[in-house]
Amino acid sequence: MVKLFERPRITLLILVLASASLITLNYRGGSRFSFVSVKAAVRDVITPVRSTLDSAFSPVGNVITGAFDYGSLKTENQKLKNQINGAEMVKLAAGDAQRQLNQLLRLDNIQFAQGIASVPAQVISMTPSNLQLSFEIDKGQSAGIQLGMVVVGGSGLAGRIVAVGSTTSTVLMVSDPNFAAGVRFGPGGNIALLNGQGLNQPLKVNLVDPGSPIRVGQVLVTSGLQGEVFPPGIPIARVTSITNPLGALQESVKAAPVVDYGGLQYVRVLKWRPLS
Amino acid sequence: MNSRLFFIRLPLLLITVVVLQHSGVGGLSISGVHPDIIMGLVCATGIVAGREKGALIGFLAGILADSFLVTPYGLSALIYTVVGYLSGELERFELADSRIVSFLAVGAMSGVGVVLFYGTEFVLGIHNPLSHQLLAEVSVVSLLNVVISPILVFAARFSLKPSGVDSRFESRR
Repeated sequence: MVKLFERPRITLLILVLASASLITLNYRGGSRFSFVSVKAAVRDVITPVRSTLDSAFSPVGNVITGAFDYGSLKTENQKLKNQINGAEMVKLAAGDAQRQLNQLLRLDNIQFAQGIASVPAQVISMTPSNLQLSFEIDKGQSAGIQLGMVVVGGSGLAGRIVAVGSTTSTVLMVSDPNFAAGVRFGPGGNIALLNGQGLNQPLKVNLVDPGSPIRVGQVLVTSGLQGEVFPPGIPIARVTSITNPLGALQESVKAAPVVDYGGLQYVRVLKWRPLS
Repeated sequence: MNSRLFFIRLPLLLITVVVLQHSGVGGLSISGVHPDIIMGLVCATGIVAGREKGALIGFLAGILADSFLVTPYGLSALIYTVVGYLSGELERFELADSRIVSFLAVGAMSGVGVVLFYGTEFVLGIHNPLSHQLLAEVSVVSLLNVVISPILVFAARFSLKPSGVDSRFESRR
């Protein structure tokens, strides 16, 4: 006979209830139960472990490489190869330095969000999970960064701060399904709502009335509405396709982020606090 | 002494896997999909040690993983708990006795976990599950977890051994 309330099932029930309670507190508990400080504390504790593990694993690769470096003939051959590689490295490093300089110059010359104090930061890692599209930067609370602040790359809005540690922060990308921003387009400054759709998916532009002055290639900028979550006038996405399904109440508009996340190395965190 | 080692080894293993997921290994991707070694470990634990331990390890791993994500606190804990329990259900078929089958089971259960994640996110209004991305994610995560499953199964056995789980896992529930 099958026993309904056996111990593993009771354990499962308790754990599922605990998880469901945590999720409910997230949604219904308001700021008291946002768990932001808990997450920040765990991240701060684990960050040194993470750095240690990173540095612990890298010598393993070096040992394996070094184990094959025996023999005088091989050594001489290796020396010559190293010289060639060194010259190549200098050339590549110069190219890389030029690319980094170009990115920093672009950040210094951004035409949007003028007059808002900002903190430059370096991107230290890209999305480590399939559950969210985010990247991490090397500045945190110690640099004055706070939750909700806006992050811009050289060409436009890169995201917003969703988690802050003492020395690092997490930035939610525009393409994440949790991301939404009010946008303006066209000469009349029509308003629409931009939503992320997830990995490898185009952004969706909602609330575009049929016949609106929108065209492929047009750049959408933040509206500055929506409780002033984002400052107005920051380029955020470029329209990639427009279709008008028969009888639909709005146009079906797709867009792509203006920021190339693949090449993103430096960003600026605008010290802008949302009003809401 | 053994139980002390258990209480040191298990948290160390969990922290190591979570940190690896959020540093080196997690940075790798195939078609934009990242490996999920936390899921792999939870599945391996369930298969090796049974439903109850699978669910418990899943919950703890999920709580740690949630600290690195902006998704609601408890979401990963919920999914990993269920995945750990379901993986433990497979022990009825004595999968852990055959290494190859247990490795394949880790991959299969990882795929189930990805579907559960998508489904739960859909219910919470975060994600639309009806996209080709789901198929890509299930395939990539399952495949990668099959590849690394020997390490995960070994790690699960090693960390749980002093808790009474012997080489034949006689105390599985």
